[in-house]
Amino acid sequence: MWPYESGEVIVQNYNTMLTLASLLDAADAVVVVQNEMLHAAAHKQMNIDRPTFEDLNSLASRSLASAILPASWRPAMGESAASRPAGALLSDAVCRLCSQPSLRLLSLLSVPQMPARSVDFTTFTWPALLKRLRQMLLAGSALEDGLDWSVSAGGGRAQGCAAAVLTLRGKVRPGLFPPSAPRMRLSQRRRRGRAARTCPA
Amino acid sequence: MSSLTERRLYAPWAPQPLSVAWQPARFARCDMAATLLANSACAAVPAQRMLHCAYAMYSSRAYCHQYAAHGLEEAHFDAAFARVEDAVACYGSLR
Repeated sequence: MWPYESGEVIVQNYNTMLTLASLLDAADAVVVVQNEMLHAAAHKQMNIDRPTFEDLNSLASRSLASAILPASWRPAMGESAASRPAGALLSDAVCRLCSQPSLRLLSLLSVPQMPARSVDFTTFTWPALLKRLRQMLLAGSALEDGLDWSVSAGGGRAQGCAAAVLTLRGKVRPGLFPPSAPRMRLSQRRRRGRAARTCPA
Repeated sequence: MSSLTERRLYAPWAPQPLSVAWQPARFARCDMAATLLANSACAAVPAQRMLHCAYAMYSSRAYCHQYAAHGLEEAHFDAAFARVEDAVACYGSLR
């Protein structure tokens, strides 16, 4: 939990710095969840006038639960969707996310963010949810509301990303996902290489 | 799906940029919910701000005596600063 950036105790920057240094030494991955973002989410999205720490905790734990509750990896290329998919373990996620030991800070981005009473009256679609998630990733904001849509991929203001794990919950068909992009590229390259060999230029 | 699989979103050296997990059970009464755990430079932004403020205080050794009273010497501080600064710098090169 990243403390409020002001207004708590005078030495909070020292404490945050010392805590983060110890965490980086001890942990394989550190999920950074900022109080300020939670506060804004509780205030704007959940329509809570004066969010308490309990409200912030429930928001944070909801996002975390959505990321780490049991789920299955989507079938890799070449595996049939009908074969029993492998369960996604937290250790798998850490391996995939933190392949570089120097990059160990993770962000937690979650959609939809809305009060429970609105859920029954809302229609969800995957493209809309994922589009917002993508913009949250690019703009570096854990807030679904007030997103900066002017940040574009490859642009100067986009936040670089080493790796990401996406967890989808709800009405999911296995056919929803195309095979993972990098593997597809590899096979395409191989195919192209073969074609180049067989047709003399 | 394609919105998050775009290669330009991720560092060019990333071996496996996006992994997708799914679970057909509804989450928090929502028909659809999506969560992204990302190893992204945005996590280093508050760390950068925090470092800036902590350095400003540390340059005049403000409040350090409170930590020294509990056995936390300057060397501890220097090591911790270096550790966090390293981490933030690595994310700077990712951007």
